Amino acid sequence: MENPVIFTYSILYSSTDEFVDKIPYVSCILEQEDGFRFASLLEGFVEGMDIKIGQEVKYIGEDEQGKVRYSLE
Amino acid sequence: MRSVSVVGIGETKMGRFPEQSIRDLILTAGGKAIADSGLDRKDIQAVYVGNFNAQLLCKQGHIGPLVSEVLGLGHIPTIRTEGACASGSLAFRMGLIAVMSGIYDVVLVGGVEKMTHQPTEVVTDGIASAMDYNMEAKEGFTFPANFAMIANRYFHEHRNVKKEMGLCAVNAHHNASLNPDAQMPKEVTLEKVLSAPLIADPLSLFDCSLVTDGAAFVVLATTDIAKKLGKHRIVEVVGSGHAGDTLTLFTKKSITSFASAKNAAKQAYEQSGLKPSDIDLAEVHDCFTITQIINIEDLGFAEPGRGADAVAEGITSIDGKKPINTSGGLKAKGHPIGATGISQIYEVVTQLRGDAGTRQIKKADIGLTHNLGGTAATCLVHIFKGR
Repeated sequence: MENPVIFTYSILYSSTDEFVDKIPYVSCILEQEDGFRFASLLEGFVEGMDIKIGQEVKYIGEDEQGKVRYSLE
Repeated sequence: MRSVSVVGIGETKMGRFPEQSIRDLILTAGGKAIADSGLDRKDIQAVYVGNFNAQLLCKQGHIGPLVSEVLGLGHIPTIRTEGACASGSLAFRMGLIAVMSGIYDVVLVGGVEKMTHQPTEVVTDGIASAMDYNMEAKEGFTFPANFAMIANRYFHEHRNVKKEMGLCAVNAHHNASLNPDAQMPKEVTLEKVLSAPLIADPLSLFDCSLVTDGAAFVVLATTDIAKKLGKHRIVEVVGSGHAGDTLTLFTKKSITSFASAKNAAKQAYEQSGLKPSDIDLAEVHDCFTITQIINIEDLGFAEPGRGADAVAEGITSIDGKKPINTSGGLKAKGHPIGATGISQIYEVVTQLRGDAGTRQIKKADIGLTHNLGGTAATCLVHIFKGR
């Protein structure tokens, strides 16, 4: 299957205790080819990076909690 | 079904009150509502009270009996309702149905929330329980993030309305400056709003509603009883709509228009025989400024994609053709989550009675309230008519 694309996103500058160390980070909804959507925290964001709806993201594997992770690069 | 009217209203000032407990807030708002009705506390047959987060933020559950104890209501039945930010309107609708159906003749409905004593991170995490905690919050989503994602998608499907979102905040603060119960009763300029720090891009500080301590209560009775009381203009509840949607944002068919709101509005309009153009004023759920723009469209006050135009043209200003959030809204009057829906009803009834002082609008005969829960997963719409 093709990589999912960004359906919508936000760059966060404030968050809960659990995620405050990651600020700024990108929350997004990703959409697969078949139209299935899911919530994701995108890796690889650096300040000033251009993000667009419809942009493809790259599968980078699972994190230590077993969550599937995608990156902007 | 019997006709039901709002016969008494009461609320606390909204704000940050470290010295006041949940009990104090209930006593002030509930006591005012009962006194305002002219009824005796012994006339109240049941209590419906909305609360969202007291179990987490105050370690206090079982809010129903707390209300009856504080207000001295004896052994009457009490129920707490929870529907995130729509908890208060949910209590209102449950009380309304009970009086309409003939189970009770007089009920007290209200809402209360105490939030400001906790650090922002704790409050943000607590509010995040109104989304899917595992699938959204544990992915780093917050409510500002959810509505920021809605805003970015809205910009993509329609156009960038960041400036008009800023105007919503300017209007809210102006209206709040005329409201003695408002938490942030001070004017802000569009420049200040647009240059504020980002919380969740594209939402900045002034795009977000407030964290608030507060309570609001109303007394509901049959319209026959309201006529006998003769104390205030009769404000009849002529429409009540309640609809839902999926809990998560990513499973919703549309995130730039809310199915829950459109369905709830359709029910309320059909019941009342009224249409959007008949509404003189509306209190809508502006948890974020983008939400207000979407609400204007969902309620039929503007075409899809044109809500921002209505704001820019001044239609939704306090002196416009369709004043929105004359109270200052969630943005500047305050957002005491479980009490917000009742606080909205308090404003509409105040306007319909002609008691809104310097923020009184000229023609106030029909008012509407729109209260969302979570990421638009719950919505209640009520329509009120002054007799």
